[in-house]
Amino acid sequence: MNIETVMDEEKLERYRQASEWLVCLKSTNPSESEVERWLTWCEEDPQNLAAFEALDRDWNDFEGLRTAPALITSAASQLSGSRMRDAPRKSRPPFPRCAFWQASIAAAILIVTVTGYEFWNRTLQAPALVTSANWKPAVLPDGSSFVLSAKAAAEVDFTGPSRDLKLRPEGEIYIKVHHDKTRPFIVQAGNVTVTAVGTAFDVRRDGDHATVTVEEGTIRVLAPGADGPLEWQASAGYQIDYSEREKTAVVASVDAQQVLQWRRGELSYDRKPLATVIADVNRYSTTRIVISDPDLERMEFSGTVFMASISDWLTALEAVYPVKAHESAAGVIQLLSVPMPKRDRAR
Amino acid sequence: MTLSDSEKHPEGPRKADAASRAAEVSRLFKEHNRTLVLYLASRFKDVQSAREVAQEAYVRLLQLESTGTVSFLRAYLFKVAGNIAIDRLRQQKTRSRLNQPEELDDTFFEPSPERTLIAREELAQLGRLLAELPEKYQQAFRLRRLEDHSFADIARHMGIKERMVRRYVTNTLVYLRLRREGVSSADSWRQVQA
Repeated sequence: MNIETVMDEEKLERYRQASEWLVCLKSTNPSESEVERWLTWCEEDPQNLAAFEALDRDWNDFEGLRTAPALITSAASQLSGSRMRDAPRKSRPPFPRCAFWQASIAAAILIVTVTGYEFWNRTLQAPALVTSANWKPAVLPDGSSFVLSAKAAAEVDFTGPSRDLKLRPEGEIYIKVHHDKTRPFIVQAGNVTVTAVGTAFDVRRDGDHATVTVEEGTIRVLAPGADGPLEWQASAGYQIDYSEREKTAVVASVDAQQVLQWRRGELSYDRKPLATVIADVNRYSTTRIVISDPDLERMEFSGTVFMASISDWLTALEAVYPVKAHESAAGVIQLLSVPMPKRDRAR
Repeated sequence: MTLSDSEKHPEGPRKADAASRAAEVSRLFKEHNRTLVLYLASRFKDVQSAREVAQEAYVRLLQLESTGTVSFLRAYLFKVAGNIAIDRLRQQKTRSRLNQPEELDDTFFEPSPERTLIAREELAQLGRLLAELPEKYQQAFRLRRLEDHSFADIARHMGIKERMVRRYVTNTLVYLRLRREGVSSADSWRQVQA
């Protein structure tokens, strides 16, 4: 680094600080201590004051545009969109700021439900947490769409050079990635990193397992192995099931449509153990069903569960199978076996 | 100090105090005039009002019985000036500003960084520079600077955090400064984003 760039950085930092002070002073009434801190900063270095004055002049010069706003929009952007895109942010040295500024950092994460989605859909300039309570697909600012399973949440950060989505433990997300060669879409599920450019896939976190199912295109999966990082590639119709405990993955061909049916809010089964069905219902719905009887767990179930009406499904289950749904404390439903009439049992 | 105040000033200690206080306040003023006017100009749209208020603050400071330490004085000066500014802004709201006093004693004021409204061509250039930035930067800056919205309101309007609105506005200021200093748009943008 030569002296010139050091000087440039100093000047740049000075302008940054001056700009912070300027908006601080131009906002509401600055407090006495803020004015005091600003004066101290001004007196620390004559160049600080000069920088502040320069920015203050620039600010004042804009006064004329108040009456001639057309002068701003008449000029077309000279830079290409890609060059003007936000670069990844570096941390800056701490700088005394207005109290008001500090207060706004307190709300670090914006929590948004899919129903209140329009609010942040327009722009996503800051990392956000997305959750969903139904199976309504939602669209991310880059054009990608996703469906989150119930109870699942994901942190979305589009401020960097890549589109980052971090899946919280226990949950599943289906993403149809909007194609953008310059900005890979990266999903982080525990230790597992899934990279896509333009494709549709599903990521599920369940205990120590992260399962990636590809519906369209190709994805790359990166995860820690026993001797260093491992990488897998999978294309449509394949599933990568990674175990954090064993630090390895199993790649298998699957019926992607079967795997992804959850995102339509329904689960269809053909002679599957009730334990499997209940596990899925628990995963994708907000209800929690417990089976305490091993015989019940092994019982085979065929049919469709509509996630929006779990209670109806339970009623139907009671009518057809020798079970009784009993709501114990705090929204937990217990499935108990009930003696069946002899003729039904013979069937 | 070898001479007592009464010896230095035969008129008596009271006048001597007043004289030394005047000298102290005067020095304080010369030292802080730039920042004081800048500070006041941030409340008023015009530098003229800022100067008038600075002048008034100076008078009030001279009328103080005891000036105390310099650090206290500086804080006091800015506080007094701030209060006068608030009073004046209230009056401006209720009263027409047609009969504004014109001339004021500029003895204590260095040449200010004031510029009158810049020429239309320069204004157009400023508009072009702003238009180089991404739309969200332009929007945040426009709403803050030209439409006087609060950061909180802009954040709500744009659906982003206040912190981001502030970042857009401050980054825009730095970008414009670099551009006006002849740095290329690409370099300016890179530096702002660094």
